[in-house]
Amino acid sequence: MLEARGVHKAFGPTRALRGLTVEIGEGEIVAVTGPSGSGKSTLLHCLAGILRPETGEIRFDGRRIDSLGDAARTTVRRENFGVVFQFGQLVPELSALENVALPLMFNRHGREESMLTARSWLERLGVEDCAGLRPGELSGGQAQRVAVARALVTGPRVVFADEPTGALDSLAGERVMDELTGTARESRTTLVIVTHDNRVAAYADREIVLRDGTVASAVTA
Amino acid sequence: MSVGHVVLGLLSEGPRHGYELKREHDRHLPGARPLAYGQVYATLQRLQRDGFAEVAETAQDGGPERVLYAITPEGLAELARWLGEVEAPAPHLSGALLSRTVLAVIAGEAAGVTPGDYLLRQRAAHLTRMRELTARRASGSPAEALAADYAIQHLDADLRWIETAMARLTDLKEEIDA
Repeated sequence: MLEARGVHKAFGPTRALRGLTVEIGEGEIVAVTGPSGSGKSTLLHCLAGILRPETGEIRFDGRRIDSLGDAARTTVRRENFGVVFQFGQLVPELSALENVALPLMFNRHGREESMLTARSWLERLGVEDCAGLRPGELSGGQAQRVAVARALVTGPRVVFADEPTGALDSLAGERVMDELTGTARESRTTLVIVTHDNRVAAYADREIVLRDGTVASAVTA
Repeated sequence: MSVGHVVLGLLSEGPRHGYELKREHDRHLPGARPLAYGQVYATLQRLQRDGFAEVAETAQDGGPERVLYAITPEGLAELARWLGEVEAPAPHLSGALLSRTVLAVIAGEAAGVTPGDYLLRQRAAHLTRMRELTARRASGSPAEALAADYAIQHLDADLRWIETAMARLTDLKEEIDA
């Protein structure tokens, strides 16, 4: 459903990805691991259509997305993908509820309907009490659960998570991972998690280990 | 840690029969190896001999004799002393991992094993176990979650060591070949 084939990507003299090929199936939960600088985040950004590789192909549902123009790629992303970053990256001026409703409004849903759906997602993730708070007033764990709600609110086919628990303590991280993977499994959403934390990788069905921009090994449960 | 101290700890809640001690041990410490009945009674005898436990009551209503055991003031003092200590920080499993890794570098070529491949396989085995524990933690009782946390975090320490070992393989090989 999602694949990278022979992908090369460099940043100046640094070759981040070197002919990398991976395939991810519908509804799969995959952890991408490897040491710092092995190309994990670059792979995630390429798969999510945020970065374009120099050579090689990125396909989503069999369709090439790397060769699309910026506007078309943005549309593919907005309609099919959700992203969770390490530090939530919520809009600081908006409330938790408005942050979650935002992707729906971008997708041309009405404000009231968006707010209702967003509230149901905050409830699902156990942070409904935070609806009116701004990101600065949330704990790290709460902010990250709001970020998970925002990534899932549009019912995406794929969710990309880049070190989703990197800034959290063990228990808060466990809660976020339980919610993220539990919801993904329920809704058969494909989940690609980049992490250097083995405890996070252990939530996935499969691990792809990167080393020097290529796949060192792929391990299935 | 000895089974004796664990049994003393369980007795500190009140007198218990041997089978109750076994049941409570297995319930409170789901990550530990289940206690055998023989082990419970042998431990109770030892605790009695040392004056840490005593027979509180013996009943025989038609069936086999049922003995109720209780902790003594000496037993409580011993329990307090033990709880006041810490466990000697000792690397348990990593000893075996360390030996395998060094041997894979020394004898890998002769045995047809690449040390890096060994470490990747070991990593996969550890992560598979961690995955099972993670799933069990999500559906388990608080005691099971606590036991799973303990195992998960120790496996995580091994996994981080494996990653460092991978980065050191070249240096290690150079040293061994020199």
